[in-house]
Amino acid sequence: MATDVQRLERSWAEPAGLLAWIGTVDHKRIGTRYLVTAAVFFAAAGVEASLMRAQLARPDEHLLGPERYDQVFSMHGLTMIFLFVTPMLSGFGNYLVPLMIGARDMAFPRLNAFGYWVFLAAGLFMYSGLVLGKAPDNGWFNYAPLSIQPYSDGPNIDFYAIGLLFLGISTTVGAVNFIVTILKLRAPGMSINRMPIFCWAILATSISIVFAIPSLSVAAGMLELQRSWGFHFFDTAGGGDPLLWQHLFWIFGHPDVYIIFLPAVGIVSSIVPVFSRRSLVAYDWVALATMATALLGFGVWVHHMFAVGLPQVSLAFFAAASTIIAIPSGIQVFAWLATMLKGRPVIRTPFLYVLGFLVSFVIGGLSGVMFAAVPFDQQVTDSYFVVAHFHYVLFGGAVFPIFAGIHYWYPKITGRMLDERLGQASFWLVFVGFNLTFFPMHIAGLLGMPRRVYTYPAGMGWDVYNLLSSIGAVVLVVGILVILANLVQARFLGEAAGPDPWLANTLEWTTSSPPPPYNFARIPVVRSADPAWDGVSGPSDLVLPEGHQTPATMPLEGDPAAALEMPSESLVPLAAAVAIALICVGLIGDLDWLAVAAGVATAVVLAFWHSPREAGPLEPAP
Amino acid sequence: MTAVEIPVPPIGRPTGWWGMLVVVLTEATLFALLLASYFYTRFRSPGAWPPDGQPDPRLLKPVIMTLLLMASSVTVYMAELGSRKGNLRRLHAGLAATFVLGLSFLILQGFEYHEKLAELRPSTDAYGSLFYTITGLHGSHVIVGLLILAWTQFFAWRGAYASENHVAVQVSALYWHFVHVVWLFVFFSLYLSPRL
Repeated sequence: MATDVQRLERSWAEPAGLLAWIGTVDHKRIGTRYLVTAAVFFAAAGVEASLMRAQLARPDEHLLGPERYDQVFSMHGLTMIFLFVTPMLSGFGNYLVPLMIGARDMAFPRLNAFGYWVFLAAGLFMYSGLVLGKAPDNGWFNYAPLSIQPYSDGPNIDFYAIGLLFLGISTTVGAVNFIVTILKLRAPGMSINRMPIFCWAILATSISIVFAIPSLSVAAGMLELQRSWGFHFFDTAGGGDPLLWQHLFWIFGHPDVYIIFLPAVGIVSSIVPVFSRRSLVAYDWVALATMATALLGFGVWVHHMFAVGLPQVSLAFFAAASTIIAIPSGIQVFAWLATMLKGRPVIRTPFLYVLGFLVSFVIGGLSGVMFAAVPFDQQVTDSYFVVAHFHYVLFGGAVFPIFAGIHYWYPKITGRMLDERLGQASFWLVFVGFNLTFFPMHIAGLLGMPRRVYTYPAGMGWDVYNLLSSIGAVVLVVGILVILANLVQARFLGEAAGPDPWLANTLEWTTSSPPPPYNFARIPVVRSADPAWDGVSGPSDLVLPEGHQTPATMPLEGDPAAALEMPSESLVPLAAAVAIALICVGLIGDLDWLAVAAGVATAVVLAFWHSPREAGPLEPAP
Repeated sequence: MTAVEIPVPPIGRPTGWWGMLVVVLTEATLFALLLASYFYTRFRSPGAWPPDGQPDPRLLKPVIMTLLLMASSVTVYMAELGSRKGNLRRLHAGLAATFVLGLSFLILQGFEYHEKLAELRPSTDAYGSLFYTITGLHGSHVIVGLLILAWTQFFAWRGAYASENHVAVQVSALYWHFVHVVWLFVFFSLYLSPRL
């Protein structure tokens, strides 16, 4: 048997060299790339946020002109939503889902690499607009008719439309990969009701992506056709309707809130049981609530449009739907609280960040329910109250869990422990800084301060709240720098973590830190939702030492179905991403020849990718 | 240590089929939203539809195109059966017939565009924009489908898809069925519904 494991190590060992490093299809490396790249975009968005807080710290400040300010707040929103939170959570998903379900890789490893390269290229594409001083400047939801000629003449909005179309490819292929991986690659015995809640969250998110991203793509595609080719969709003069943009955008936009939020609460559901030292209370309800949130998320988009002037019937329907969606979130919050009450909580940094999440998310949830009341919503629309609300939901609801996840899984990814004192210090700085930054915005908003103003006159009664926010931003930045310092020092000086420093319940902690390329030498067999705790789950006799193989199972029962041959390193995904990037460059630069040539190149690369020889050994015809 | 037995031959659908199924779902949503945009614009626009006294779309060519795609869905199913049962002749014939039918669809669409562009352009108004965007996007899916079919055909001739290895045929067929079914919705919405 030992020889089998040695053969396994030989066949999965990654060749040395730059090309093999670039062409890796290992989900752990790709996951890490997602995490690091998203963190860099987070830093960029942080710089943009700091510029805005510097500008608004006192009245009549003119550090940035209005054009620059518009670009800065637009890029801040676009970066945080599309280039930081979503890819960051994708990074956690990529790294963790195969480990949590006992698989050796994602279902489509090269597609996974392709998704990463497209994300990187789309991010750089959108930022190239900022470098040229022509970044999108109409906010992240980019309403028509301001987004079309003659109101937006430069290439700014083209960077938005083409960039988001391009990025949508990455998000979509990622979702396809997660769905198939979670349904088909779970370890034997892991029936769907034994799957970690984090995987439920990634599954629900991916299903949302599959049905939500097309709406953004349709909207962005129409916008680009209108801007570059003279089509009419959003202008009344040509028989179109600017409201169509708003509907399409929010049919995507509200599910996107849950696309951001669900993986984050998946992280929370992973951490709460481990630090409460007991199984999650009401596992079934939490799993169902996760799926219900994803579903209901498609029925509430009009609450972003309550101030537009829609028929009363629509308002009533969507107000009711928006109230109902608080229920599944409530179920999850009470399940976490019950888990903590019934357990014996151990307060460590990841758990502190989870507690910070709970407090801020409940505050954000409360102001969220307020928007479901139409008259209140109409009163505060487009004020700083809204800015305060969505930062409590997104920073509180997603960034706190991301920080919790970083502190929780860092030992697994690097094999080193973070410093606990630095971790706790960073938490208090981030928590205080966050609340000081965003709580005063509620008040400024209720006092009438509109969002997206590049400056404001003295004497409006907003000065002190803005100053407080700006001071809070400084504290927040210091807190994030402490996290960064902790991550860097631990990489070199941290204690060795061992396979399972937290005595946790899921499969990723049953292999070494960092895990070997094949994740598990013996494929685990799973008997409960806490396989590392139940005492009956454990490694099987299955090694599959030949080539790159991982078992496939049946979607619901988790019974063994097949042994899948997985691909190894390949540069084809990178080539495909570059070819598509060149199409985008051709489109934005009005270089038709380049766009056409790159389109042909894309087809050729994809054809090569899908030749049977590339896909695996040929079966000779009988 | 628990013993785990992998069944031979494998059971269940291959991962590639599941992947294509999800791709088809997201693409179907794309078309659903485009058609929703079409009806939204139509019901928000005052007066007759098509606007400005433009004639209803003519039906002869689109009806033939619909029949061609319906037939091609059957032939691609024959190819699928052929590959599953190891009948290579049927596999080759089915793929070739599907390719010819799909190509005829595209040629007819070319003629239809040629005729229609004389009276309605994408830049004329929102009606024209939606008409050409939706039919054009569908046409581009037919082109992609034809490329996939040609590629599958090429490897079928080289003997790549014996009965144990027919995933590629199954996956291409699934995509082609999608291209066919979505056309029925496009046909109903853009060609038939203005006459209702």
